Amino acid sequence: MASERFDVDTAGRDGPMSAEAPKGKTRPSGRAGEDGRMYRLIFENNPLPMWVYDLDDLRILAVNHAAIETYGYSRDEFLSMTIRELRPQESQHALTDYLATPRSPLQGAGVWLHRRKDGSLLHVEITSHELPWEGRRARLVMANDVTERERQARALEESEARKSAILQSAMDCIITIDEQGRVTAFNPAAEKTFGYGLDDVLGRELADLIIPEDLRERHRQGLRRFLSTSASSILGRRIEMEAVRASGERFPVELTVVTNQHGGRTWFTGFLRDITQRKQAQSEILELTHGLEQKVIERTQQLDAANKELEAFSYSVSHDLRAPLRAIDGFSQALVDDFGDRLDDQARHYLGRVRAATQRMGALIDDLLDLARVSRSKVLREQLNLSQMAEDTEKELHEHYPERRVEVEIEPDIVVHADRNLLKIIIDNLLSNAWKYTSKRERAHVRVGTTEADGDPVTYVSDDGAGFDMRYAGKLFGAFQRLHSPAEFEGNGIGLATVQRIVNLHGGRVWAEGRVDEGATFFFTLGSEATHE
Amino acid sequence: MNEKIILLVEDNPDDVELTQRALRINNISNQVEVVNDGEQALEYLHGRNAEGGYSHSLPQLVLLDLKLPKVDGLEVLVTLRGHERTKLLPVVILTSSKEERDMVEGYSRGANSYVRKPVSFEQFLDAVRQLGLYWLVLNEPPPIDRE
Repeated sequence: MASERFDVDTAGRDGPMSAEAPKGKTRPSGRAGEDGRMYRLIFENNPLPMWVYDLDDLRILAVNHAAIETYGYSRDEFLSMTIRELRPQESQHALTDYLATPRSPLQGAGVWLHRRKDGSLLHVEITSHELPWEGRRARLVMANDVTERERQARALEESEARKSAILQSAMDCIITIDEQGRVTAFNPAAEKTFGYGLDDVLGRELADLIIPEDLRERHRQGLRRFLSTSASSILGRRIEMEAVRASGERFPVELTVVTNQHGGRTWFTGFLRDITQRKQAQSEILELTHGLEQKVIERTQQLDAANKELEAFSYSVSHDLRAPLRAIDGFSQALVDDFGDRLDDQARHYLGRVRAATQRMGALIDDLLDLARVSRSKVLREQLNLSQMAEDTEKELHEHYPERRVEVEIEPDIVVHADRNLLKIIIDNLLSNAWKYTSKRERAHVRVGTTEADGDPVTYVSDDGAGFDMRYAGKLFGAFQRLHSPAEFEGNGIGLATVQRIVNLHGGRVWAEGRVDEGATFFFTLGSEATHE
Repeated sequence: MNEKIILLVEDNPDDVELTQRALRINNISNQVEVVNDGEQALEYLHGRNAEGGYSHSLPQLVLLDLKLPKVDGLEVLVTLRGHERTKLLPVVILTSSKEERDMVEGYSRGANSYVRKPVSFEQFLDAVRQLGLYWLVLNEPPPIDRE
């Protein structure tokens, strides 16, 4: 394109501009040629694209360098074109309409869409002036490329539209105030929430509108403080406060305030949300929670009271229930001792029965108290050698029942983590049971060993005694539940209940397998901390 | 002055009679004084006569039940141990209870011994026999002024 650059010398050769000076400009005739050249230079080198077209056939009669550069056509191409060819298809109609309308000589024709040679489009602001051109009616056109300006304007428009759409459709109230606290924006959600129309609030001080009276001064102070020190306690974080509607009703809102600065001025935009319902839900939850807590406290108190009563009951049983038993036993014995010579065998037999019954009741009371005590006790786990403990119990049983022939096999070094005293009660009970229910055997066999169930280490005590019917296995561990009559085997049905309590306290479980006359096996685990080695 | 008195603090007349019987059967011939509640026990041990002296000489041994009317056994024990005259007096708790807290409380308040009354009279006899043997014969009493 640089080759087409016009200069003064070449411009002078066929300068069509020299034919006419701009209208109203008259020059001394001696300088006419020079003026013509000047004007031609002004036309040719004008930074704005310019051309002259014939008003009758729309042909382009002259074109300047900036137009050639801007549109991409050569001068010759321009001079063989009409101005229609500068238009994309879609704006041909507008051109026709435009041309059909009578125009004043000087015309600001607004912004048009033009097409370059390469097909790309550009926005141009057209200004034109009618002029006679070599005897023809013509128009001088100046096309200012405003594509970038248009693009920016449209982008701004779009951005504004988007912003506006956000503002208009937001569920939250969006309110902007200026440095004086006056409302500059108030979206529909705000109108709806607060009950004010946009026109009611624009330019008015926000504090007077939606801030409760007792908080207004604080709001104003906060605004002043921020403007003088940039310090704020509320900016950029979510706060909850009370606001007031046009009706005077106060209600809770969640509020976030951000600032933006422009041209040395500050605006504050608040995003508010009516949280009345949320607050209600929260307070309902709080109420429910409080109610629940209250209930838990009450229940706990009731439970504590019940436990205390139970404890008092056990205590009283321990003291008071045994005293009459002692008296029955003691005076029965006194009767035998002091008046035995006057009693016949039958009378002595009866007294024997009375005494035996009191002993049983005494033992029963003791066992019940033990059971109650076990239930209350805390589990202090330590590493224990269960095998050693079982051997001790075995020794005691052999000493206590020297006439019995029981062969005991104890797996060595069964190590568990359990409470020493409580584990001792388990072992005592299970081995005593094994002793008891094998008492009808000439030679009895008892085994203490380990196995595994569901990945947990299990300890078991098995015997080859009377066994039990598996149908009643569930009843074994209930207090006072017995599967044998006292005539068959002595007992009060508390031993296994105690074992179960202890196992439960350890977080373990206990179960049994057996068959009538083929023996029984009792299995137990001692909770997650129990380990075997 | 070989009068080794036993003070039995017991509210249950059955237990009083059985204890006395057990002592007798075991040939423990010491004089047994019986009081029926804690208040009487303290009156017996700390009470003063018109001349300003103590109204009773100190017993050799106190057999103290825990569950007593008015002032219970543990309170009696505390009072005895806080008093110059009775702070060293041998006191054996003789009770039905084998509640752990009773034992702990009893010992921590200065009981010399804790014996549970068994239901079986035979076992009770044995307990009383051993108590008498130990506290009245074997044990060297604390050097205290019994008047």
